[in-house]
Amino acid sequence: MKKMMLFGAVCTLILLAAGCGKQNKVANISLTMWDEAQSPIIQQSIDKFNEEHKGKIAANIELVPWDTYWTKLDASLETKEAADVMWMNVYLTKYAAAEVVKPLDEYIQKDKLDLSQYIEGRVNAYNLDGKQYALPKGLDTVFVAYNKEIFDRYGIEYPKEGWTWDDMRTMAAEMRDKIKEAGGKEYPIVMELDDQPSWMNFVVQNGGNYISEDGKTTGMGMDQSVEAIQNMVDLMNEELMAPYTVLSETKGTDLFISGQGGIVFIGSWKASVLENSTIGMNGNIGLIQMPSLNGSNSSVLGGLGYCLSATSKHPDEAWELIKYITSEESLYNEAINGIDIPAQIKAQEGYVKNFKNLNAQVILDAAVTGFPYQSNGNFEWTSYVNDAVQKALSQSAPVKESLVEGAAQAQAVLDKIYNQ
Amino acid sequence: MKIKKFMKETLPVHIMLILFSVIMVGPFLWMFLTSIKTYEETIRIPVQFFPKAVQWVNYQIVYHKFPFLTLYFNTFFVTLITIIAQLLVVSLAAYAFSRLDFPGRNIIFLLMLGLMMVPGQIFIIPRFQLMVQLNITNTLTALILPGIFNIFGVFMMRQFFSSIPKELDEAALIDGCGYFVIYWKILLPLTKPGLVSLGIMVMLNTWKELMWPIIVNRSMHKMTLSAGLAMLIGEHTTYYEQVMAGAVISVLPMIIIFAIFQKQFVAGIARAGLKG
Amino acid sequence: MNKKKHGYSARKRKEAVTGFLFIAPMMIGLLVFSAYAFFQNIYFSFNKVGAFGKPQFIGFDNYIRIFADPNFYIALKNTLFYTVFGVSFVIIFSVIIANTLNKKVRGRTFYRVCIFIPAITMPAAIGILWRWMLNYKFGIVNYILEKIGLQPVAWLSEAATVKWAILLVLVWSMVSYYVIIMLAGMQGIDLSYYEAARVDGAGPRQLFFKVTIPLLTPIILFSTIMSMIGILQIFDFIYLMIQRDTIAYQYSMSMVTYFYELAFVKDLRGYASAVSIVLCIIIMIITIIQMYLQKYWVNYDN
Repeated sequence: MKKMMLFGAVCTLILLAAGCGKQNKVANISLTMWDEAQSPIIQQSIDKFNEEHKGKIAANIELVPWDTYWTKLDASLETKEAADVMWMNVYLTKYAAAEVVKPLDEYIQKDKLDLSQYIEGRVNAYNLDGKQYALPKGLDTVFVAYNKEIFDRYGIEYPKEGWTWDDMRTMAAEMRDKIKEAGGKEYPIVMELDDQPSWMNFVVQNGGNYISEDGKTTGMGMDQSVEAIQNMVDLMNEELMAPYTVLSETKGTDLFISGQGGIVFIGSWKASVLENSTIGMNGNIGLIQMPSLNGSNSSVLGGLGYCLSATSKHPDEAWELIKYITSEESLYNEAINGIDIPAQIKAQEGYVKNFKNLNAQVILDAAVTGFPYQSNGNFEWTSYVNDAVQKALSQSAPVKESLVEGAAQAQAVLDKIYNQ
Repeated sequence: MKIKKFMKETLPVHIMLILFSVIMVGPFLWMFLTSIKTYEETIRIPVQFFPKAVQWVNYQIVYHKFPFLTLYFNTFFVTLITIIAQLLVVSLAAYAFSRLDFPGRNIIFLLMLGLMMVPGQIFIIPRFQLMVQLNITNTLTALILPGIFNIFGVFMMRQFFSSIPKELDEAALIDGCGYFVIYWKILLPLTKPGLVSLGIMVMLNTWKELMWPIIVNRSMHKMTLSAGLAMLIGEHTTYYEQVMAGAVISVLPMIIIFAIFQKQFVAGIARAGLKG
Repeated sequence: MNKKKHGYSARKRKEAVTGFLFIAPMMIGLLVFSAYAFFQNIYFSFNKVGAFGKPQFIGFDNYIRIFADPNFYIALKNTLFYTVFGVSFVIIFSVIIANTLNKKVRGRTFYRVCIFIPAITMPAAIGILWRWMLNYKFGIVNYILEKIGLQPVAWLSEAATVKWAILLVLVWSMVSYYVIIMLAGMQGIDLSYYEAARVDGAGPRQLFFKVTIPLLTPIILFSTIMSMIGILQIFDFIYLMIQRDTIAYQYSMSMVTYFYELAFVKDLRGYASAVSIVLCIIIMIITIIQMYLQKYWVNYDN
């Protein structure tokens, strides 16, 4: 008994000593991000960066799954143990307000960094109260991919440019009938049920909104918004789209690349998945802009940027990292590997070049008529609306009822926040 | 006659036991089968039971994606330190409650029992804030510390101590032994089974604990196996053959250890239960 | 005489001091990590606590909010569902299976190892496994259902069925653990009881109901309380098996899941603290009722 404890104690000491590690003078900085699909490519940039700054700076990636990314980021910022550099999106408002991210203006001026090399909209997205909080990395658009093999098999014409929502319905109905005849199990239409790659697009296309421009009113209870969601429910009811039960368990993209879907509404962040899929490699994926609903096929535009933590112990070194990974060289590498559309304009040519199996120009073109992801940086109200949409889509309650109720609850919270 | 007896008595029992075993083990077999298929094979409709060729490559992929060695080390390290610390702290306190008389002993013990009934969520937010203030979030220490003070352990060990006849203490006292010596040299060795149970309980708990590690720690490299596995689900649940491979890697060692030491395991768990 | 008295009280004092010293590490640890946390949680429940910044005192607002919160009631209803059905099924099945395992048949050890495996497996692995098996399109469970002529069930994506999916996995994993405990209990029953009953002409069924069960009641009580406390706090499986932004997540949410969402996803920590306290009170009430009722059905060795 005693021997065991002694053994255990010795083990402990050895482990502790090993765990203590060596002290070095190299500045260790970390970059935190989600999306494991992108990390190997970004790691390449990091490796180059480390090579260049050997002995002085050593950067590494801390990969956190999307589900827990924000929770962890918050926790780490509170503890001042945060990563030095972090991926940031529309949630920036919250972090800027709490002053846990450091504005980059000083560094930009000191190094005379030319911001016009980036898409203006993406630079502005990270500019609050005149302060530049992040350098843009990429751009997201939403479009439609179709499986040529399925279209050919059932003898349906490929979707044509300029097609409308009604065109899509007609095509899907034809496909549905032919599939049934042949005893197949595919779905004409599939999509992911998150806001960015699906319903936010339709709501805005139809004239509604998720949150108003001034960020104080939600338009999800408006007739136009209700109609957009109702369209989706109709698709499911008429068996033109996979049912909610299937879509809420298996992502639309996964269904599509496993040959279960005729067309999929998809975001550009999944482009490399399409490229490397079996169907893609057989040259059977076609891309096209979304069908226009009520005259519009505007895509939600998103994108990520790199922020600097206000409590970073090596802010200067972290800035060097940010500068490098948003440089033309680094973003071109991302483009040529198809993991993200660069916000850096020159690097964009790498994007189309990269895709052998997809007509990537379509993805870039969607940005022309797009609108930025609607958010007011606050998230106390969003779950009421998001839950209402899920309720509506799953038909646990009628569409209009759910949305109107959800919007009202959300508005109540918004009113409290903005004291109106 | 013998055959009749077999059919009537033994066979039904075997059938039942086989049925139960299949229900309990079957899913794990499916886990393994899934892990050796290709992606297309896993999503084939209708379900394809066996892969055409065994895809060990899935294990390679997952092993590279996730630092399993680190996760195992973390889990092992946390378990070991927790066990050692807990054995000392808990058994010492249990000895005192069982053998030593001091004012307020019973009240303190009852309060402790009361505290034991409080569900863990009550403590999470304040403990998290505490870790933040002490600046030890994202460390293994944060995983170890709260686990050391196991009230149920004190309760159980006290039962064990109480079952040892007091004459031993008295004899030792007369011989001039101090209380600590009595505890360390005489009584503790006699409660070995209790300590083993405690150790097994700690191991199972650390192994299974999910919420606390994912809240207080951030990097994959500071996770225990459970939390790390949960992170495996993350954004890309698509490739179940990889997810299952990861699950197999996490589950297999424990199953093997269990198969070898099952007698001790079962005895340990049972004892903890019976003493309650 | 004097010397003896003096020696006695000195010893008593030494004993007391030693006593305090020995419980000190445990007490300090408990004070810091549990007692202080307990009171701080109560304090938080009367405040608005966000991700950053200081707590703001808001009195009983959080508690009032709970009463009007539909999500709270859904979580409460779900938790009670899991607990009532979960405990019942776990106890019933574990007793039956343990009884079968207790019989003298060849290969007993092999069966035991098989049946105990879920008990030593991480909930994380179990959750992932069942998430895959219960998948609507590709899961093997629906495949089996279709093969025997039934309709596939949307286990994890339909509001009505998702609770049953969680219950299934919960019971499956817990039965394994409690079989161990029940079996140990059964093996601790003095064989003489069985002998006596058999002499009286009792058959196997009567032996089970008239000897095994009554003598097992202390263990059953213990298991009931432990499993109940465990299920009331269910979190892992829901977290692992259900996709976050879907309707199924809303309708399968347990109280602890709700607590987690509030505290660490929505950054409403004060409100979460209040919810946790309400949960704590509920658990305590149920436990106390259990302990009180035990005298009516539990037999202890006299």
